[in-house]
Amino acid sequence: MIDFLQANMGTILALLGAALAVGLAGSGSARGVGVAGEAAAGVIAEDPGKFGKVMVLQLLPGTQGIYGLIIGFITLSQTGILGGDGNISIGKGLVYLCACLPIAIAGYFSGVAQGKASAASIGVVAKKPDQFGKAMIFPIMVETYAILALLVSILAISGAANVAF
Amino acid sequence: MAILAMKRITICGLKKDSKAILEEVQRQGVIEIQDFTPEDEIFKKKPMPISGAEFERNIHDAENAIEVLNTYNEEKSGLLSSFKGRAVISKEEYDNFHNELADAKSTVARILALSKDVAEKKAEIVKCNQQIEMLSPWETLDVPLDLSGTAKTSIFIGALPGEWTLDAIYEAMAENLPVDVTIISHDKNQTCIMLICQKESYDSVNSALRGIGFAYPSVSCSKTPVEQKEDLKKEIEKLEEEIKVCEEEIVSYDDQRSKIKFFADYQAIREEKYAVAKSLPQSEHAFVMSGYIPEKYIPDMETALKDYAVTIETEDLAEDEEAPVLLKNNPFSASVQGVVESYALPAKGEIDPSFIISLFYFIFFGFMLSDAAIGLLIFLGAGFLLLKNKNMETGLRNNTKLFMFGGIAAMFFGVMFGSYFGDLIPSVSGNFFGNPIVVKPVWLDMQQNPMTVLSLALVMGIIHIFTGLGINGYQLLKKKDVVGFIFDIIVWYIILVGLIVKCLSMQMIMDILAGGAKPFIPANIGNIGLYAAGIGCVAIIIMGGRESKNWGKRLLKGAYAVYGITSYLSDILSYSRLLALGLATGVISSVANMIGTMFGSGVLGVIIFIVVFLIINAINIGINTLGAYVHTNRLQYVEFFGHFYDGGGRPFEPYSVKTKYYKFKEN
Repeated sequence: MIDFLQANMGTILALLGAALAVGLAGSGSARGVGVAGEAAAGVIAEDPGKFGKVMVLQLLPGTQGIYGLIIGFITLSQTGILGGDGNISIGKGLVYLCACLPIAIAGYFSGVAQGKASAASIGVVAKKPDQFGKAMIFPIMVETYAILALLVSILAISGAANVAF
Repeated sequence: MAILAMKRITICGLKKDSKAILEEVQRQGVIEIQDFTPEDEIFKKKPMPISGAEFERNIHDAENAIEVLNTYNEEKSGLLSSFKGRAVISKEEYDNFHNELADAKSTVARILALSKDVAEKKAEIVKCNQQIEMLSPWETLDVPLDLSGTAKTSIFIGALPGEWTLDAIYEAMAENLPVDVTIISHDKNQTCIMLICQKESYDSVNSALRGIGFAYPSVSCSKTPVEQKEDLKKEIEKLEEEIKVCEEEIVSYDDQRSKIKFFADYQAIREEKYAVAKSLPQSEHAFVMSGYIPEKYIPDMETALKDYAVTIETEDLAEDEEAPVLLKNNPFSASVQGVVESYALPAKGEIDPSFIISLFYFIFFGFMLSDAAIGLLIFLGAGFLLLKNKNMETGLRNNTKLFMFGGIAAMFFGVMFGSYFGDLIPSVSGNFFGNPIVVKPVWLDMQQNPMTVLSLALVMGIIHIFTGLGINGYQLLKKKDVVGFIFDIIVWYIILVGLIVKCLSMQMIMDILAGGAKPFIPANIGNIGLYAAGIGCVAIIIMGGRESKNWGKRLLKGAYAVYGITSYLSDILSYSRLLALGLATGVISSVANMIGTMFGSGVLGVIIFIVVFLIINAINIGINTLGAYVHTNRLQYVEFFGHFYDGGGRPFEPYSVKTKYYKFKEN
């Protein structure tokens, strides 16, 4: 066991990072889309004609999961776990783990928060369908922070390839 | 550009022409009726003989009739039918319809009556079925249920609650013998019995039976249950036959559908016409109509009314009058008009931003989507919809065009960054043909050079924001606010440019953005930039709070205005989403390619690849097109509009032909 850990610690750390990125950001999105979905279903019960609009709003918190997937995927392919020998040093594994953290953390919390904003915006569309353009902006404001986290994660991971350990 | 200039128009005509003139103006549909002419002794509003409620009821009836027709014979509506738009008909067809008006109205009434009939008969059938159900426990009884006795005997036919045996019943009747009890049927809820006794013991038997919960059946009939059941079945058959006849008649009206729709539209047109007519001041022989009209339509209106004895007067708006807003743009810029309208229409003194937005919109959209293959699909899809549906409604047409142009932009950026469904070409050729074909990006690979692309994204942001600031300056100049123009616009330009110059002269910034290249701006020029920015800040501290008389307050307000520099910083950084979303599309497609090619190059591998490819890319297109759309909108609404545009104009609502099913061809 100890030998195995010693030999593969780098890979395990990188894998942990990818797992956190996909898992946490995905959970945030799942909660966000869920909350928004409940609100959307309520609107549809009253007026099925608003389906298109409320569905767009429901989907907005779904992006964090995708950002997490992107980071997870880049990590897996760069560390060689996907289609490679998959043996990297402990230091490098740690670097990848850290690089995954921004999108993991911000992805989770922004997903939940964006879901709430989306649900509220769905309420706007229920009462004033012509205000869809403005209603869409509020959830998008939250998304900015997921995007910033994604950006730092991407930059850190593409930088990690050049870090020598 | 873009916001149509409005004028006040007053049309004065003879009352005998009023119907024709109202119809003509309605058909032109370019005047928003407003009460500019006050009522006086001579000109007064008059109530109309027909009330609006009648039209509304007719429209409602017609729509119900169509719904009835739909329940029997659903109109064919494909997945894409919502793009179709209303059918176009000519003025002749419209005029010819007058003869068929009464016809259509009676058809509507007939359809509704028939459908009511059908509903009633269906209720009747349900009732019959319930009776049959209730009769079923009595089926073996060969006398009528309401038989109460013979000359010497009394007969009780009814049910006892729960399950009873013959012995138990006789036991309960012990005091009233002789009786004859027959159990007709029983289940665990009830026991159906027939009890015969002597006529003289009727009262005591009756009370004994009541004591054990005897109840007469809830159906009564003068025939035996079996005969009664037969009758009911016949009745049901008859009703079904009648329903069929009704339904056949309803279905036979299916070809009247277009007439009914026309009827509904006609009523809607008349409703609006009467609403306007009611609001017009009229004298004994003349009437006055007044409202707003876009200046460019005045000659058309004059030509349209030239055959009538009317006077048309137009006048300019008062200085502070807020006219309704109607946007008009070239076909390319019109595609983003919906984006502007869903934010807000320009208020007085603001420009219509559609044209400027259209210059940036597709660059951002394409950058965020940045995949040539996906762009091509969106372009083809939107183009197909536009070609197939010539009658598409204007708003929808503009939005479809928006995606078509967006698709073109995505193709351009896809080629620049070398993304065709991510790395589809190299991975498929490598996996299935053993010889990877490398597609070189025309410019650079986004995944390999994120910092370069990030710098580009931020530069685009700076250009975008500077443009917004410039438009604000233009608006201030138009309002002749020169001080505002200098201190709210020019000084900010100086500060921002100065800081950018300073940044580009610093090695640290170059290390981050340009991979450690030497700054191409010498340090001393950078310092000049910094000093310029410093002077700008001082200017803002002094002038930023200029509306305050108190100098202390004024300086504090000015200092707060300088703090606004952080908002510029965050606005510019917000454009980093161009890179993040641009990467997302390609990476997700690459995920599909990688998973798909994991299963080798055999037949199974090919099948799995195709399935994985289709599913993931379908999701990818959906999510990323939506993402590109909403985030491009956000960059316009928040970062761009934030610098010059508040909106709040009132939309132009002309008196026009507002129909649901047909559109009238303009002559």
